[in-house]
Amino acid sequence: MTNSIPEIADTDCLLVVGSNTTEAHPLISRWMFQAKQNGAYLIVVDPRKIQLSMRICTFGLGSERMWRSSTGSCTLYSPTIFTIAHLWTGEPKASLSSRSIYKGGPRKKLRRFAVFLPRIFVELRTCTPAPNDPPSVIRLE
Amino acid sequence: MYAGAERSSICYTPGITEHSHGVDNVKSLANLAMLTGQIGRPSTGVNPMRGRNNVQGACDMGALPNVYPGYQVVTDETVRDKLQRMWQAELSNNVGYTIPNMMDRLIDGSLKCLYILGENSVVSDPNTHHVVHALQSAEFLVVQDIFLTETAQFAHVVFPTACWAEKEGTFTNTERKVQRVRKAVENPPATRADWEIIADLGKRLGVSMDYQSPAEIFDEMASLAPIFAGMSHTRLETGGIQWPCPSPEHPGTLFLHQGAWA
Repeated sequence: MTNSIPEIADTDCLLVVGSNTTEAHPLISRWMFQAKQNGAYLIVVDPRKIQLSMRICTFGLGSERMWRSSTGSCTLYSPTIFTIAHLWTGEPKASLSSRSIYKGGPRKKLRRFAVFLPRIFVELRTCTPAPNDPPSVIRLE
Repeated sequence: MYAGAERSSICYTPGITEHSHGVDNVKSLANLAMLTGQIGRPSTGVNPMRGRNNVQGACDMGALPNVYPGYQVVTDETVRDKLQRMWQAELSNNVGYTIPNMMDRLIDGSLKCLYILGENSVVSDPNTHHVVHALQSAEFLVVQDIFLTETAQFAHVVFPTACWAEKEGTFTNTERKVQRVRKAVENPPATRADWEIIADLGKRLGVSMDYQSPAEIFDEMASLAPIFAGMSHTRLETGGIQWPCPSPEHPGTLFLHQGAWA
C-alpha cells in the first residue's frame, strides 16, 4: 500500500476494485465503514453482489445488468478504470479501441459493454442514478 | 467523484490482479491516481491489500525474479557490485524466471532442480495438471514445509520446518509495517526454523552463512537495503515500523511518494 490502513477512514472517496473486503480483509473493511460514516463516497467495482456493494457503497459498478450483458467479466476491469480516467481527462473514447490489452480479445463483449459506459458517466458525474432512458452507444473504431 | 474529491483512495486485491491482464489492471489504477493527483498525500494512493500475512515481506526481501532485498534491481551494476563484495560471491545480472516460467522449463528440461519453501504449488498455482507434470519432470525437487503437502509428495527431499508460532523473526503487513514475531511454543523435535535449514545448506555448499540468530540476518539485510537501513530487531521491540526507514532516527513512512514520484 502507498498509504496506511487507518488513513482509509479519512478519505473523501474510496474506489474499491476486485475486492470482497468484508470477507477477505475484515479488519480493513471496518476502516471503510468508518470512512462511509464520515461521509465518504464509496465506489465498488466488482462482478459480484458483495456485502460492501450491497450495504454501504454509493455506486456499484459491475451491476448485475452490466455483467449479464458481458459474460467473461474479468477482462472488463480495465475499461471501467479507463472510463473513469477518460471522464476526468475529457476524452471519453480516446483509446478504448486501441489498447494493446484488447488485442485479439473479446471485441464484441467490449462493444456491448460500451453501451453502458455513458450511463456510468452520468451516474458518476451527477452522483444520482441515471434516468431510465435507453443509453447511447459509444462507437468503437 | 473520484477525481474531484479532496482525498481519494484506491483499494484493490487479487480480484483484478489474478488475470492475464492483471498487470494492465494495476497500471490503469496507478495511472488513474497519478492523472488525478490522488497520490502522495494522506488518505489517497493506490492500496493493494495483500493476500497472506507475509507476502509483502517476502517481496520486500527479494523473493521476486528481478530484485534483491529492498527492491534493488538485479540489472543495476552498482547494486550488484555492493552485494558481491558483501556476500563474496559472483552474482548473475540476469532477471530470473517467474513461477509459471519455471514450470514450463521443468517440463522442457532447461530447469533441472527446484527448491520450494512454504508453498503448496500444486494447490495454489494456476493449471494444476501442468504443475503436477512439471514437478514430476524435475530431476531433483526439494520441498521445505510444515506439512507433507500435495507438492511435497513429489519431492526427492523434504525438510520439515517450524511453523510461525515456533520461530523468531518479522512479518511485514500490507501497509509496509515490519513487525516482530516471537517464538511462543517449542517446535517439534524433528523440525528446525527455515533460516537454520537454509544456513546449514549454504554451509555445506561452501557459502559462509554462519548466522547465530534471525536478528543477525536482519541486520545484514538492513545494511544492504537502504529502505530498511534504520531498522533492527531491537528497535522493532517497541512496535512496528513502516518502510522506507533510512536511518535509526527515522520514524518510518506513513505514505509514499510525498512531493514527487520517481
